[in-house]
Amino acid sequence: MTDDVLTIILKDTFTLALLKHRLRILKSNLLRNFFEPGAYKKLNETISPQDLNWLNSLPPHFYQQFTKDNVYQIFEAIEAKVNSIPVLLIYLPFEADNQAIYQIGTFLQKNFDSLFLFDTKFNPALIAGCALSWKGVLRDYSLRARIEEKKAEIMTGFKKFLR
Amino acid sequence: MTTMRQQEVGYAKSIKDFLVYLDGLPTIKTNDLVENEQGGRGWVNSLSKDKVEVLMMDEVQVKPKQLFRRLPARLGIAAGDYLLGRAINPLGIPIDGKGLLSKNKNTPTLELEQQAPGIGSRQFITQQFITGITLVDSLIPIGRGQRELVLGDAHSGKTAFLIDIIANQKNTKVICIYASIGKPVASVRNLIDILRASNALSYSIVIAASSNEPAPLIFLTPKTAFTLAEYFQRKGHDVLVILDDLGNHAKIYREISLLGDKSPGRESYPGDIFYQHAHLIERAGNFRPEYGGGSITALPVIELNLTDFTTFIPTNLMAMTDGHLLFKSSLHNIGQRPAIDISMSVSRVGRQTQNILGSQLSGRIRQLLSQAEELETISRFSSELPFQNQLILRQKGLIEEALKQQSLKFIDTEIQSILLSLIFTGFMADKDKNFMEKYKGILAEAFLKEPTLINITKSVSSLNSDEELIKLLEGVRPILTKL
Repeated sequence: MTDDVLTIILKDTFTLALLKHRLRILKSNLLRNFFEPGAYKKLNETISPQDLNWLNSLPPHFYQQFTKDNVYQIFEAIEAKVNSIPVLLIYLPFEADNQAIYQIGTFLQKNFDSLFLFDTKFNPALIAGCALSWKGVLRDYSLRARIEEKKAEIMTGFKKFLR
Repeated sequence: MTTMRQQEVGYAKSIKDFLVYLDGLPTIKTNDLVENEQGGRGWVNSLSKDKVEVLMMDEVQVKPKQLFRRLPARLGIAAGDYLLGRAINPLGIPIDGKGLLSKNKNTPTLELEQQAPGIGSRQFITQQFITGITLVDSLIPIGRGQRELVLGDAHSGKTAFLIDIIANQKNTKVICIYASIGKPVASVRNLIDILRASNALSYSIVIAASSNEPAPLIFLTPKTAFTLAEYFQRKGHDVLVILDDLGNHAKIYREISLLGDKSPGRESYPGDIFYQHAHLIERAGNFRPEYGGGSITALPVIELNLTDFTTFIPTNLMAMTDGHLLFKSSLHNIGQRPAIDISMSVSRVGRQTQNILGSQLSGRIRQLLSQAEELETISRFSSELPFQNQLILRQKGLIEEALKQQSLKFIDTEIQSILLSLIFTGFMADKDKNFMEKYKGILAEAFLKEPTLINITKSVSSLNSDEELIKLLEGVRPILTKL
């Protein structure tokens, strides 16, 4: 059941930071519904419209899986599962907007695993390209690394123009 | 494989002061080095299934999720002869303001963490380590390759004694390595100045991590000292390693272990503190020619509280060394230099390295001192003592006076034997300790300069018993009286 719930959440949640945020609001929403009836009306006052839209976008059968008795268990299992999912860290030379994150996320889920998470970090020193960190190995596909690699050649090239 | 474009990284999961836990780094090993984006370096202390424990050697602020790169080098030091005369920190960074070290591409980098060489690489200790200090060389001799603990109260003259030993190695070709562990910066500076002033720096290396440096760096100091000692030993040199002091080292290791949630044991020290010290001290010894042929003599130091050596760390160290020299502040206060308590000090290896004459003379003196101790108790109750007993008590005074030695004064073993043997001759029979105090220097000088007496000095090493020397000295009594 945990995987089913996670798969639905991860359909449009690609980064670890966003996943943790969404899990928190989902949990508080469900707890309010179960243990504080009538609180749902106040929900739009406490959370952002984007989060409210996301909660409303979840299918009815998704909510039917949760009951008063299993809600804590399911969330504990989900949190354990999330901690075990390796996260791909992508270093980018620009601040990725939502559209870029969506494009990267859908590509990764389509090509690798439906339970796939990534995070982005802004590093302008990369100049162009990106660097990927996966399971403790960092691969640098940036222009900076390329320049470092070809430093000697580039310097010899430049020296031709020195007078 | 680590290339420019691919390298192992880890991210800070949790941070406790200088202790950082990382995830990632799939093929990391203990004693590998990692570095964060600010250039702060750390070494891998231990590994568990899901995290890597790193001890930071530089004072940098580590933030959660900060990236750490694995460095190609492991925890080690570039060793070379150029280190002689220099003062460095445990990572080989010069701290004496004399500029960069003159290492080159061929300078070997030796790992700090080394297994102590096995029994097959060692040989019997046969050569005496000459300290130039009469009390030690004659009564508690140390062998080359021996581990002798130096323990005593604060301000009992331990450091001055150790500096004397280093200063006395000028003509012995022994390389001296002094590890100052967690001492104040001022005392490290003072030490370097004294060594320089006594021309002892040229064959010495000072490794110091002062008390204001990060605990992991202080912890590495004795390891660096032994790694450098092994470098010189493998080149056939005799090396002296002084670890001043291991009490500080134990406290630093306790701090690291408690921070790392290791279970505290006796006096809150972790369970492996004995291993940590034994693992170090075991690296000393006398080695066979196939393994370099040199020797490493270790003098670990520990400061006691009110002469109580029954606490955890001193008893541990006593168990893993081949003897100890006990310094007492009470002896220091009454003017005994060095303030070593002879009856409470022991050397389990050095006696086998002494020549027959030295060994017999040492036995004779120890016997006399113990006899005198008994007589002293009796003499308190009796106003008149038989002549024989008076002589023993007077001879004790003479011995004590002969064993007193001013700082930075070297006395040859031959002269040491002559001065001690003189006490048993007729020449000294009617003399008291004031005479010895006044004429000790003149007598010693005469045996180095007076043509007739020089012959005796030269023949000391070939004599087979102390009786022979005493007989020779009786023969020159007229010359001595004239002095």
